Amino acid sequence: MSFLLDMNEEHRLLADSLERMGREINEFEARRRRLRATPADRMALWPHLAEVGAFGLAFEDRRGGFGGTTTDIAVLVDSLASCLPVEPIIASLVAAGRTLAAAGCDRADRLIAALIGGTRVPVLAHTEGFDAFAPPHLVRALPIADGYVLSGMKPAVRGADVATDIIVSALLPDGAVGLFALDTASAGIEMERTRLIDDAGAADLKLNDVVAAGGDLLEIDDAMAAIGDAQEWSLMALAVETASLARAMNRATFDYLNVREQFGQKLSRFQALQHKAADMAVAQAEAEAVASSAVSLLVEMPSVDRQRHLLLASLAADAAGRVIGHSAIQLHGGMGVSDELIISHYGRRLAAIRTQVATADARLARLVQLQESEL
Amino acid sequence: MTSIDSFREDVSRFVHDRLPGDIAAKVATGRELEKDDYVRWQKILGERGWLIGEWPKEWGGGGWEPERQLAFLQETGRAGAPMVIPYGVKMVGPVIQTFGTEDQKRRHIPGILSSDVWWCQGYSEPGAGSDLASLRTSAVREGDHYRVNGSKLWTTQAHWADWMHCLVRTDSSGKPQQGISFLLIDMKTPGLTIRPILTLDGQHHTNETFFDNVMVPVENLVGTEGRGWEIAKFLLGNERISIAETGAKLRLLGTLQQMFERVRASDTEPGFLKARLQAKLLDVEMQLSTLVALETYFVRAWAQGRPSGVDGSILKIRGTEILQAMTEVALDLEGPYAAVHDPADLHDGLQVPETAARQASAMAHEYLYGRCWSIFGGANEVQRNIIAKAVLG
Repeated sequence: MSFLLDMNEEHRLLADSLERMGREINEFEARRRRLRATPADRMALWPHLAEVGAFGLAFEDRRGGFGGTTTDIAVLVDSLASCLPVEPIIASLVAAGRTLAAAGCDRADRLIAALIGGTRVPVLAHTEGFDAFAPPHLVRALPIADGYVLSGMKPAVRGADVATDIIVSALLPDGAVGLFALDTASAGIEMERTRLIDDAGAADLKLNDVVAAGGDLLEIDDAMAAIGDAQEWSLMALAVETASLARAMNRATFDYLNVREQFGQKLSRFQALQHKAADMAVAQAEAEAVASSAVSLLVEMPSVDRQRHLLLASLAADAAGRVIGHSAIQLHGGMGVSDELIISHYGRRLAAIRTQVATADARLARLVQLQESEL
Repeated sequence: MTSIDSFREDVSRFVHDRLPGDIAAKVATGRELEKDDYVRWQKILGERGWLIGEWPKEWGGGGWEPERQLAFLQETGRAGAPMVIPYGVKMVGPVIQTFGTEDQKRRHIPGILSSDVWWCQGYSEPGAGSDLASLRTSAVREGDHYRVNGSKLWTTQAHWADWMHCLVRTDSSGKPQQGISFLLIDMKTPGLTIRPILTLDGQHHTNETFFDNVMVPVENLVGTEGRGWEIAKFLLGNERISIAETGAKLRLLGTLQQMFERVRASDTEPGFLKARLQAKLLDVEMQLSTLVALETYFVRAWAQGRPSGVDGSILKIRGTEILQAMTEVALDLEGPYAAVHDPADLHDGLQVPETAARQASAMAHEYLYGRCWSIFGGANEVQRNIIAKAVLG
């Protein structure tokens, strides 16, 4: 941990055990073999994480967990980042977890308990287009006796391929938005599975007249506010992950420059490469700084100002991640573009982070929207 | 209409009429091409006399001046034709014609021209990338053979190749550039093995090649022993017209423009987001049109006697960096599908229907493989060193 997180003794112990777990279970070749197998095994870490109680870290005591603060999430994400988990930790624990925690109903309580226990994997399915911050319009829910019928499509839902439950946003006839918890085994749910650039899984989620019981509609006062909160927490987690990857990539790259020789001297002796390395160090410091500020920002109550600052921090994290991701690959030369070295895998995860929750363009568009609505 | 303009039209029409439909469909959907696709297209070009348009007439080529060569490259690339794989007709062919013996010409040129004999290039090594002259794969003369030991890295398409043209060290007593020799090696020779290397796009383009006491007949030496570096430099000089690869980039720009039109047509996406994407697209269009202008300018100036000097390095840097910028815009234009990348999608049969996710896989492939271009073929840092040395002395 090289950036500022207010860790307690419990955090330190958990971080140690998570880092050890990452090194063992996600040893580079073992992970690569699992992900290249047919079918790929994308949940190898999950039972181990459940076993050490990692999932409880995402929830407060009153929801059956033992954490629930931004620092708790940051410790979890930071400890695992460099072992490149493809398991839907942020999609499930943070995105789905925050919406479930915002709900006051049995359905949500049971799902949270099962999530903490490792027996259920819910993921959030909200985004329908470029604008991840817009309410749903493709997925609609029509009331029937004792429940609803849902239809529509959510594109490329990260983690849907391994999810047991989907927390799906839908437009209700009165123009309000509802969040439904649906078992992925429900009749009418169709998944077109695909792979993502970081080797994680996703699926186009098609809802063909899926019947939801009344109790599947989560009891939340303002579903769009809950989704917004889940997105902000996810962006915070992604900023932390970017900072951790920046650190890992820089360390690997600087080591490489100090070992690899061309033209009779170490690569680290060439000024052009020294300057690139310096820029990478600058970007790492920035990534760490904005990750720290994102972690402290979310302690405040949700507000336009909080969202504004968080979006700015996430864009800054992206920019730093892009500099480091691309430079680290370039400075590794041919080895940087080989699948056989971890560096391109780090770079691919950073490319995925830049699209997760919302693309950079969509985040910027949201900032414009916030500013315009204030004028 | 100038003769070049009408030639451009002829080339474009020829690709449209003669490129087999399945290959055209693969290119249009971003699928990976197989060796047979390249061979079929090169044979079609060969029948038309366009496979070796840039070869001098006395070698049986078209004797095309640089401007015509560029027009051909641009129009075929833009029309979606597979690139001509350079290792045979563009690299070892001209080397054999220029430096080879009559016997070598008789033996190798027909297979290169018919595309029935496939070549790969053995230059880079684990310890010799941008610093190519430090290569160590050794060839020791024993009677009428060279005994070759060592390994080559990034031997692209070695798994398709029948022969390799290879730089080996025959003498290590002098400067690194001295003592390098140019050998033709039959890939079936005992002791030669290849190991596939996946690149970051999840595809198998390239390999590591190992030489364990590979015996190469002395008659496969091209030129003079120890003078291979001159041949390597000769090859780099031949690359200057194809290096910016503007044809394929113009085609990619067209794809990006189509992608943007779909976003523009949406009535749910915010206006600012559309304007932002449009501005990004225009920015790469500006960069690409500059590259096209630069390339045209150089080609005309070379024809009027401008020494090509560092022009190839300029084109390499701008060409690769513009491609990288374009592929990042491609991902931006994918929106909710921006992270989708399944390498298997690029090998699906043509009966598999097009989906948004499949297209996204093709674009992510462009983004990922795009990272290679600023590294392979002399890293951009080395190209900048070359330019700096030329302008600063």
